[in-house]
Amino acid sequence: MFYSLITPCLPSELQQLHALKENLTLQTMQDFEWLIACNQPIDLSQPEWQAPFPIHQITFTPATVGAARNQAIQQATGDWLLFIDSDDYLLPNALADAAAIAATRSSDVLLDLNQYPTYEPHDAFVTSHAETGVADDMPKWGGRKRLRPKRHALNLATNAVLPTDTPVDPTVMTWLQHRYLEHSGDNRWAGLDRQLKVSGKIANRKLILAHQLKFNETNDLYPDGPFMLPLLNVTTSTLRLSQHTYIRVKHNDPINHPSVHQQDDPRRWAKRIQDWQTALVTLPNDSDGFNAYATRDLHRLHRYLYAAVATRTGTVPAEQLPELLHTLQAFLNVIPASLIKQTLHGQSRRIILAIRRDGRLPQRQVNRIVWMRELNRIIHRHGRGSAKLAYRWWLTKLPLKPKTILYESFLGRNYSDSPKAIYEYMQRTYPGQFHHVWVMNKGVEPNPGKQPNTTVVKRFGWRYMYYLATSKFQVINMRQPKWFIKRPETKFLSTWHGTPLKHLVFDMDNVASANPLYKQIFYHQSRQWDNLIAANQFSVDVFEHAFMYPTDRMLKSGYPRNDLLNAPDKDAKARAIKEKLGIPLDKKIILYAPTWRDDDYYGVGDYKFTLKLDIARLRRELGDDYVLVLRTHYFITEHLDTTGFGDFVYNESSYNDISELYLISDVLITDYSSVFFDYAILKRPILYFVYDYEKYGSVLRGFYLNMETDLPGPLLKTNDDVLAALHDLPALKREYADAYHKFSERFNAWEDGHASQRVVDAFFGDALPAPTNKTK
Amino acid sequence: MNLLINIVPNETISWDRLLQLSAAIEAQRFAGVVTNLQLPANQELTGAHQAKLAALHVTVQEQPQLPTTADGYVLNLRETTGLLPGALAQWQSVTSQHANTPVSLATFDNQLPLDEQINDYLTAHANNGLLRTYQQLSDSDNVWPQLWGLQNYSVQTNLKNFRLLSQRLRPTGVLLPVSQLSPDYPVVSLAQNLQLLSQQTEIIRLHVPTIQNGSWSRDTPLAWFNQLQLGQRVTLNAEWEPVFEKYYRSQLKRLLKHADENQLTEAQQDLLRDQLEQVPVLDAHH
Repeated sequence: MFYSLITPCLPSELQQLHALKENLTLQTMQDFEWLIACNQPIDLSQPEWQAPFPIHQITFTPATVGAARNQAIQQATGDWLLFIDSDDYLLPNALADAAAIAATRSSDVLLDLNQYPTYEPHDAFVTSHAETGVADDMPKWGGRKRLRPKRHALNLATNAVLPTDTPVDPTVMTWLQHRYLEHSGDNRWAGLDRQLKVSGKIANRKLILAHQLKFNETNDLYPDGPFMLPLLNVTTSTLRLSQHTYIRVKHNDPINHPSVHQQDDPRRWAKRIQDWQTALVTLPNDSDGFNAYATRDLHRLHRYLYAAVATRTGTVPAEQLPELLHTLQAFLNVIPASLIKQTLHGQSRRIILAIRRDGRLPQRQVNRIVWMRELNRIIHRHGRGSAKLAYRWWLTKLPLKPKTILYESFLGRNYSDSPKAIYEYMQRTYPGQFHHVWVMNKGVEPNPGKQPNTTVVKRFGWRYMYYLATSKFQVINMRQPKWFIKRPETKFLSTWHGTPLKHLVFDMDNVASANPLYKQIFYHQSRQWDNLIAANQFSVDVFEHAFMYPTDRMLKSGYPRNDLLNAPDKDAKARAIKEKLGIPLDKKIILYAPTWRDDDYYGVGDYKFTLKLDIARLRRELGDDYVLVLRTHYFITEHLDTTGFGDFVYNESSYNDISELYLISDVLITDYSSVFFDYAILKRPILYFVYDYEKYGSVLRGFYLNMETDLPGPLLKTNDDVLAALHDLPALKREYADAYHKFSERFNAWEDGHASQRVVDAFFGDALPAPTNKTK
Repeated sequence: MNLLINIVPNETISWDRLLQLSAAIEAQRFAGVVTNLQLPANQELTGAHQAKLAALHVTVQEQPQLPTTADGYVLNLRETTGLLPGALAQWQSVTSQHANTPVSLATFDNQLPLDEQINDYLTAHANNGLLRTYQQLSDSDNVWPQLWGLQNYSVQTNLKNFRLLSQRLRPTGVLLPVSQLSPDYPVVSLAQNLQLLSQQTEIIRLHVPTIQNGSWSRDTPLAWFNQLQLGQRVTLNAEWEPVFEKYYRSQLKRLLKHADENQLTEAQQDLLRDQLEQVPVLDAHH
C-alpha cells in the first residue's frame, strides 16, 4: 500500500511545513510520497527538505485550497490519498494502522485517522512530550469540553499471545490490533459532521478519479462539500480509528494568524450556503445521503443563522444581506418543502419557508426568535443571567451618569491597587464632586462603602449591571467582562496591575491552558480601553506588542498605587500600619512573597516548597531583630501551619493592599513574582530565593527580563545563602548599588509620588471641576 | 513485559484453583513473565504438588524474586483469582503505552457465575460502537474478542478519591511498578499499595475486566483487618493522612456492619470496636 499525502500550503505556512516533515519522518511506515501544494517556490534540493520519502511540489490556479488539492490529486501516484494540513501532524502509528486495516478491506471504504483538536502548537507539544516520555501523552484537548476523551482505546499488541482454544478470524485479529468504528448500513450517514471533515481522511485514488470528485475551486472558504459528500456516497463505509492519530491544531491567534475558518469575511454565510448547495446537488434527490445532509444543513440554519441576521445581534453586514438571501433561497429550493416541514418546527419553519418562497427576510420574526432564545436560556438556568440580559437589552439604553465613576480592582476581590489610589486622590481633591461606585465581591473587607459619595455594588449583581451600563467613567485594573458593551460616550481606563514580567497575550507562544480564544478576546476587550496606564517606558514597549495597544493612548504616568511609596508621610503611615497589624515597632520586617507554582511544576496538594525557606532557622538566627511577614498564594498559606513560630511569623496573605506591606518591610525575599518592580521604589534590599531555578528554566524562557543580569539583588539557591545575605545587608547594598541604580532608572524613573494626579488630569480632563483641595 | 505474578494463597490452599490459575497463566505465557507461589513458611508442598507446579513453571518462594528491570511490574493474585483469556496481552499493551504507573484492574466477581457476568456486561454495552463494529466483522458469538474489543483505560489523577480507594488499595489485582515498591512493607499488602499511591500523581484503570477476583473484606475479613492495621503504620504526608484515616474508619465500620456474615466472633468484633474508638474522627475534604 502506497500513500500520497496532500498538503496545501500558503507561503506564510512554509515554516510549519518543516515541523510536519520532521513529524512524517517519524511514521513507522514510510511507503508514501508527500505532495506540497504551494505556489511559493521551494528548493527541495536543500538539506532541510531531505527525507526518507519523496517530496514533490505542486503549483496551482486559482489560488484556493480547493484548486491546490485538485491539482495534487491529479499528480498523485499513491494507491490511497491522505489529506493533511500544514499545521497539523500525525501520531507515529497513524499510517501503519490505516494500512493494516486497508489490507483487510476492499478499496471502496473511507479511512479516518480520527482528528484530535488542540490549540497546543506542534513544537510546544513535541517539547513537552519529550519531557514526559509517555507513549499515550496527548496535547491539551481543544474541542468541546464535554467531548474530551477520558479514556484511551487499548489495541492488542501485535505480539499478543491469545488462547489457542478460541480461534479468532484474521480480520477480527487485525481489528483488535488496530481498532476502528465502522459507519455503514443504517449507520452510514450518522455523525455526518465528523465524517465530512477532509483532514485526516484516507480515500482510494482510483475511486476518486473514477467518480471525478473535485473540491470547489471558486469557494475560498468552503471548498470541501462537493468532494466529501459524494465521496461518502460512493464508499460503503467510513472506518474511524479508535485512537486519535491525526492532531488538528486550531489557531489561537485569530487576530494575527487566522485559519481559513477564522478569517473575517463578510460573505462567509453566503459562501457557506453555496458550499452546501454545490454539495447537495451531487446526490440523487431523496436518497439517504441527500436527506441526511439537507437535514444537517437545516439544523445549522436553525441554530446559527438567526442571530447572524437579527437586528441587534447581527454580524452579516446589511449590504451583504441581499446576496445571502438570494443564495439561501436557491439552496432551500433544492430541498423539498416536505423535508423542511419534517425537520423544522414553529417559528423557525415559518421563517425558512418564507425565505424559500419570497427570498426576503422576515426580520421581525427573526428578531423575535433571537429574543425568545435569550429569554429561554435564562428560564432554563432558573433566572441566572437575567441581570446580564437586562444589561444588554435595557440598561445600556438608559441615560449616562456624567459624574459617576465605577472602580474595580482584581475582579472585586479587594479594595486595592491603582483604582484605590485614583479613588482616594479623587476623594481628596474633588470631594463631593463625583459619585464613586466600587465593585466588590460579597463580604470583602475592608471596603470603602462608608466613605462619602461612595456606593459598593456586588459584582454581577443588578446594581453592578446598572452602574456598569450608566457610569460615564470606568477604572478597572484587570479585564472587563467579555460581554461588556462600550457605549461611545463613556470613558474606560485600564490601569493594568503591574510591570510585565512574564510574557503577555500576543507574546505568549502557547495559550493552550487558557481560553483558546484568549488572544482574540483580549484584543477586542483592549480595543474598548480609552487609556491604559504604563508604569515605565519598558511597559510602554511591552504593551505595544503584547497587547497590540497604540502607544498614543497610553498614559505614561507611573503607577498611582505606588504614590504611597513616595509619600512624604510614608514613615508615619508605616508606623500606623505596623500598629494595625500588631507588629512591634522595634522589630525590622522581612517580607517573603514567593510566586505560586502551578500544577505544571508541583502536583496539587504538594506544598513542599513552602518549607524550603527555613523559617525555624530564620527565627533562631534573626528572631531578636526581625519578624517575617508572609505574603503567598492563599492556597498555600491555608495549608501552612505557622503556629510553631509564635510571634515571629505574620501571615498577611489576605491583607488587601500589598503596597502597605512593602512600606513597612525592610527587606524583600521573592523569586519569580513581579512584586520587586514596585518594591524597588523604596530602594530597600531585595533577595531572590530561587531554590528551584533550574526546574523553572522553561518558564524563565517566557520572561521579559533576564533573571541573571537584570535584577537589583542576588539569586540565592540555598537557605545558607539567604541567611548570609540577611546577616550582612549593608554589604549586599554596596555590592548591588550599581545594579539597583540601573534597575530603578529602567523601571521606576516615572515614580515620583504624583502618578495619580497625572492620570486623573489626563483621563478625566474636561470633566474635572476646579480642585477643592489641591493635594501636595 | 517483565512481570512477576505473585500468588498469595489463602490460609487453606485450594490446590485445584491454584493449578487452574497457574495453567491459565502458562497458557498465556509471555517472555519475561514469571509466576511465583508465595508459600507461607508454615506450609509445605507434597512432591506431587511440587512436580505439577514445576511443570507449569511456577517457582515457590516466600520472598519472591522481583523483576530487576526498571520497567518491571508485580501483580499479586490469590489462587482463587480467575484469569480471563487474553489478560496478559492486554496488560502488556497498557503497560507499554504508559510505563511505570500502577494499573488497577477491573474484575468480575469470583463468587458469581462468569458466563452470566460476561453476558450482563456485553448487554450493558450493546450500543457501544466498537461492539457493533465487531458484530459487522464477525458473526461468531465468541465473547472474548468482544471483551478485548471493548477494552480501554484511563489515566486517573484523582488519587485520593474516597470511592475509588478500595480498588486501588487492595493488595491483589493491581499491577505495581517494581521501581516504586518500598522494602519497608510486604509486597502483598495494603500498606505497600498505600505508600505507592501516596507517592504517585496518577494511576491507570483498565476498565474491562481481565480477572475474576474476590473482595478482601468479604472473603477474608480478619486478614483485611490486619491489612488495614498495617496500613496505619505507613508514614503519610499531611494530605494523605486524613484520607486514609477516613478510609480506615469506614472499612472498620463496614467489617462490623457485616460481622455476622463475615462470621466474626464477639471477641473479634470487640477488637474492631476498640480500634474504631481509637481512631480520631477526621474530615478529609476529598
